[in-house]
Amino acid sequence: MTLRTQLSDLAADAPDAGALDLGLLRGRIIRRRRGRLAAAGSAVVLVAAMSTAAAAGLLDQGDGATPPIARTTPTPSGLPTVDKSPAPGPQQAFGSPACGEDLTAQGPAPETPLEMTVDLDDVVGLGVSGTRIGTATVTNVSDQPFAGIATPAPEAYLVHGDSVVTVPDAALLDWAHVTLAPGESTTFPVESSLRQCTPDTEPEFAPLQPGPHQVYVELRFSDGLALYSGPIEVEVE
Amino acid sequence: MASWERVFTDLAENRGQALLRYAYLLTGEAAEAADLVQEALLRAFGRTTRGLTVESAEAYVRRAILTIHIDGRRRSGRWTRVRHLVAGRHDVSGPETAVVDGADLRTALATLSPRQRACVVLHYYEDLSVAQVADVLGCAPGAVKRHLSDARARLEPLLSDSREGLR
Repeated sequence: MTLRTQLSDLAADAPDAGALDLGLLRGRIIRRRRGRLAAAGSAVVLVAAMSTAAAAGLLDQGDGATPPIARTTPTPSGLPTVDKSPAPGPQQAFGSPACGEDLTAQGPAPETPLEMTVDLDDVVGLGVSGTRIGTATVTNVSDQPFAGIATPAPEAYLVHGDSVVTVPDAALLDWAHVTLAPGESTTFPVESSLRQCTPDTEPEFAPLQPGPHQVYVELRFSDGLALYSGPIEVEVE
Repeated sequence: MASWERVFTDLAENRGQALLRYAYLLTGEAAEAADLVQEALLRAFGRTTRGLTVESAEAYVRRAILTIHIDGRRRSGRWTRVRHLVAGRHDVSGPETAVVDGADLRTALATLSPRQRACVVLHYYEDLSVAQVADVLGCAPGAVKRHLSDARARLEPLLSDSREGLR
């Protein structure tokens, strides 16, 4: 039996087309396209809510005017995930504030050949550095190949009130090569300790205060290029 | 219905099964394959590209499936490379043993690296030439030949026929 035949036999075990939830997918596509169209060649700021259970079932999947917030959806593997669709808006650059400082917008970010979208996970564990809280997808939206060197993961800041309450985990001393053909994407994990930092006493951490928080994400490249997303609204319970 | 929706519906209904089979051969997991195809469709149709046809959309989706799969495996591979530093040592058979003992294509494919596996699927299942595989993966034809050779060495115990030559 040839390898080709064996592969064909194995492929017959693939799930049937019913495994694709086309209605759900169509809704996600509509929202993503709406965001990109509104961004119109500029960068995008993401605003998503984390209140999964409360928002579940309240949102339509069509192309209506109300921007979706969050929706619990089954995946083929049976695990619930949250589909948070970012609302469009101008992407704002921000500095790298220390714990307790304001995260001040520094105006519109410079145009780049890349676009970053961030999807936060539904439920995350708390209390340790390197906790994955979501995924950042970087796409080359230009017509030219892109090559650059970036930090191995985006930096995530959590803001409560007017000040930074969670700073990025200590940066790794290495870089990641990012090479993207036009239209090609790559993803990075977004990580955070999700613990309340204390100014000037970095090792001291405490649980976050309940209430609304905002996540800001920055991915830096060695040549000074930077991608920003935020604020992404989350609710700490 | 918007033009992209017609293409999306056409592609999903007529080529969805083929895309799932392609993803399944790459991943070996049914649920993971479905997730992979859906993510790739989202990327393809979530863009604001105009003039999308079923053919161009399928080509984009197939490339996205490959990229998402290889990138995902590369990231999980980081943990694979260091987990022995934190876990206790166990007497676990290596992948070569699995091939010999398992005598099963699914098991054998699981021992291949993501790029080796992609080369096998693209060359032997999708019927792409070595040059075409190299173009899809963005590497040199020599690298593809090396991946295919290494993969064949692991799959050889399963093959009872004469060698299928490279094209």
